[in-house]
Amino acid sequence: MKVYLNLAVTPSRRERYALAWALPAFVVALLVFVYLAAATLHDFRRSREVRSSLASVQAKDANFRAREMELRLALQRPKLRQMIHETKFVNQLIDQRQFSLTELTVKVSKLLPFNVKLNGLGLAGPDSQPEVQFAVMGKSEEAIESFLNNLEDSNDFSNVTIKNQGFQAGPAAGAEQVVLVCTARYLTGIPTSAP
Amino acid sequence: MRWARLEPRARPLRPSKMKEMDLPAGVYEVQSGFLMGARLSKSRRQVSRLAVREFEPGALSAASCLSNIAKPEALSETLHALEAALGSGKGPLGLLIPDPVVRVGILEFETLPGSAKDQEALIQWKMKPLLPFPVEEARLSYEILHQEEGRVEVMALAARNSILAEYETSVEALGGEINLVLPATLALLPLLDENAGQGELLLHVWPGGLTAVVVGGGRIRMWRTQPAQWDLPEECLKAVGQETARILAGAQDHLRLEIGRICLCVRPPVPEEWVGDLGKAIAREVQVLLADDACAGSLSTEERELLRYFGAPLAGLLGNAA
Repeated sequence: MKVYLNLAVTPSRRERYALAWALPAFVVALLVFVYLAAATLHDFRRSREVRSSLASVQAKDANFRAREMELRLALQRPKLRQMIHETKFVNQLIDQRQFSLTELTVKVSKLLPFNVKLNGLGLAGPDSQPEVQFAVMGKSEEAIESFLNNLEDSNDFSNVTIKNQGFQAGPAAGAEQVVLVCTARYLTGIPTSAP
Repeated sequence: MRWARLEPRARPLRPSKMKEMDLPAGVYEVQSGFLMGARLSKSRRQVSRLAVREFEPGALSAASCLSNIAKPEALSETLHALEAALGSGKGPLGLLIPDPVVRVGILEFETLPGSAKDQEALIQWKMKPLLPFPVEEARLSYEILHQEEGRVEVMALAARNSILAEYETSVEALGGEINLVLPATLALLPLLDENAGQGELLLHVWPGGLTAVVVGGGRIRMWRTQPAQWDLPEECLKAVGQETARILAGAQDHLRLEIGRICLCVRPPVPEEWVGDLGKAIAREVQVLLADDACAGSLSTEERELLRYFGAPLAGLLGNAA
């Protein structure tokens, strides 16, 4: 008659070797723990450094933005806008290097009769076809008329338009001078298409 | 699909926890009057060394509830003397303990749960009234004896952990892991004929009592351990005769089982006349269980003699492992 009963408590493989493996397992666990702790500390320090440098960069960025806003507001002022416009024109002329102000002045001087003097010279219109504004002052209407005829006949200018005409008291008593403001498109030296 | 019909087939015949008994390399039997030690050859299924030592009376008092070993030093000393006689050896050890340490229950169930854990819980609950100590302190082992539709028979052993620990600690001190703990009578069961047509009665007379086991139909039907005190062989004969007569009558009346063979194991051994007188007292033939010479191997003549009269449980263990 076969017997299968047994009151012995046979330790399982796990129980049998648990104690033997406990110390190496503890040492390995301790090493892993130390490594993880060191890695965490290193990462934490690195994170703090990155965060502080990011904050510094953000502060600089905010400063630059504020500065930019200030400059933008400054550039919105009419006086500066005019200056910018003129500067742009001059810069364009400088860039193109085909538009000589000296040459323009010489050409305009040739058109002026002896009794008419140039009071002002301005520029307007698109960059590709600049419009020159003349403010001239003559001792008589004939002299101004003569200037206008010279201007219209000139090959360097076209589309002459009178903007304003009037009289102004001269330096001597009882003498009046004629003031004329007109515009003309300057043709010489301007390329057909803008760069 | 009728799952209910498949359920009995799916249930394991033995709890998964149980394994074939692994034969130990050395066996120590502790009884109140003597200690026996043996080295076993697993490959040859033989006893390779054997020694028996008388044990100081009163140093051990076998019981299931109270502390058993009154003089641990005496036990340790005798065990070391045995080990010295047996010579050095390696491998797991077996421990045969006195029958009163263990409570045996033949339990009946309509059905058993499928999982081993649930089975154990149920058997623990069923064993609880049989134990003189809290069931939580019990070490339990069980085996399904018989299973049919609507009826499962289980044999369960229970012993108090603290009591078993007393024995185990003493034997483990010899240097070896214990892989087998059994009451000595259980080790005799493999010597019975499993295929006997009629019932069998095993009588194991040990110093301080008697265990009777009725086996029928290939399974244990009854287990009874009766402590008794006798000083003279005549008193012992009388007590064993009365107990045997009661068992025989009980088997016939309650179990409806006719006992065809009575096997007897008495240790320390008694004269042949004593056995004859017992047969006359119960009016039945009594067959003495002796260890077979095939188990003896290369034992010396003295060891063979010891094996013949003390080594029946060893022969049972060897037979069980075969």
